[in-house]
Amino acid sequence: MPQLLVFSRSRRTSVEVLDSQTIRSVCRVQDNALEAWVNVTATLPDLEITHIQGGVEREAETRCQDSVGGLQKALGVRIGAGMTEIVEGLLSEAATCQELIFMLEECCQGIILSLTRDVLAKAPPDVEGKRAFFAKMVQKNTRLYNRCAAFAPGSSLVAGVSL
Amino acid sequence: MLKFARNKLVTVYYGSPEVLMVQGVLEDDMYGLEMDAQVRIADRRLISVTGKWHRYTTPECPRALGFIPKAEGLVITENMGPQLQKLIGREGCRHYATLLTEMCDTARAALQSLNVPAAASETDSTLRPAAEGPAANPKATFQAAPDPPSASSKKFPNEFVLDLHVHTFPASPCATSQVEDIIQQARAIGLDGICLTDHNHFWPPAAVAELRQTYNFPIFAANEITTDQGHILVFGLERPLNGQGIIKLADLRERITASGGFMIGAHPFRGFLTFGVGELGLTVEKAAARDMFSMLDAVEVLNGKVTAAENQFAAKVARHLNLPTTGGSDAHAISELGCYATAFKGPIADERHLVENFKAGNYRAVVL
Repeated sequence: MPQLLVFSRSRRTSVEVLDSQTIRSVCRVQDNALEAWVNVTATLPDLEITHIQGGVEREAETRCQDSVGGLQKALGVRIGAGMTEIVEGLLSEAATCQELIFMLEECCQGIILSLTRDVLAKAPPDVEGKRAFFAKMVQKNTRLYNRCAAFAPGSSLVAGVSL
Repeated sequence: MLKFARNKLVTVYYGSPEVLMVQGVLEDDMYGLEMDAQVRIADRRLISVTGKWHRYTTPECPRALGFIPKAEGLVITENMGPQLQKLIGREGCRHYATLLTEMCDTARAALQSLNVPAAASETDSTLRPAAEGPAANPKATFQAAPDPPSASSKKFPNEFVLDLHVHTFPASPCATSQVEDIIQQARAIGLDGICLTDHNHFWPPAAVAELRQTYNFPIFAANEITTDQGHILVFGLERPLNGQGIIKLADLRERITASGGFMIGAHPFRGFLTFGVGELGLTVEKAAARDMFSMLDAVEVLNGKVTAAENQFAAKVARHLNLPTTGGSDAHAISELGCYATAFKGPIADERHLVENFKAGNYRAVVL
């Protein structure tokens, strides 16, 4: 039988620094049933969410469109550790559309990833240099230890690291 | 100019009348990966999951591929993100877990669009079930409690040293040690007592009194409450918050003030995996201006789960604001006890006495 797609989804999250004190992330999703977007603006360096906007261009029902206003409950939340729990807790009552909540979280994750990129850009290009770079990172921040396979016991990145 | 972009693309098609093929690609500034999964339509079960790297950051990232098949056998349900992060993200790679989450949700939407009914049962035996309340029978695995180690063997012989921040399973699902194991270890390392600060969990006074009596060891009921401004250690909460979800810090402050309790900002500057607030350029003055600090009675500046830099930053902010400071292990397992604590000038009898001592300022954060 021809391998026709029965469903597809495209999601793009992008981050831009608007000025020295403001960072913005936009998440857009497009699939067979839904087309929507959420954007989040946060302060630098505090990462406090100051603006949230959302929109639904297309959906089978109006469930997400009706929930856009509920996203404002996340205003004032700081993007950081424990953020997902806070956002889910604040929005789950106000917003019945899980997809919008997820996109807001994606925006926040995008901001974190964009800042992570700045750190990783400092890694040396050679393999041994990279090993030393990441080993030093684990030593400095033991939260990284065993947080994924690359930093698990047995990995060269944690060999000799004292916790 | 964009600073960062992440693209995820998921496609779903029939591999056979019984199986959907789900392909996913994730490409961002740092990572490029793809995954292939097969979903049996009849029971929405993942029957095959594989992954492939295109770009990664550390030389050891390829180790994550071995963990991807752990997702096989899962039934596709709503909101699988936390489950997949636990199953393959934590041990393997969070980015594969992120992509597989997207793929599973897309597959679920596809099944819905094809009018395939949801599976009758959705179980996953690989994860420990969440549970409420203290351990069912604290006496079952313990015999008569010996007296605690003598004060002279401790580092602070003239002070009463309490770990103000301790988690136990199952009251805190993220913890791995049962309360009786935590108590035994706390005694063994010479602590004078512990505070049970399980996440958003109210310890019934009778249960804590029984633990105190059974183990002949000072144990105090407290809480770590999740607010819109982060985690707060709460002492003197007399009733549960009754499932209010995430409470606003201002509302919690009002509630605790009314009950005469005490609130400590827990790990207020806990950073990210690869960077902290210092790298973002956050200054002490700017951090101290946060509204949350005007609603706190003290700041936790020694926490066993954050970096030395993050603890130091918290201490600087507390000093700037002239707020008292505390220490605690934030232990989720017995191995995590014994790093930081809070030393009081004299013995603490019960929770009310603890709050009185907090308000009198009779304490300091200590390194054990």
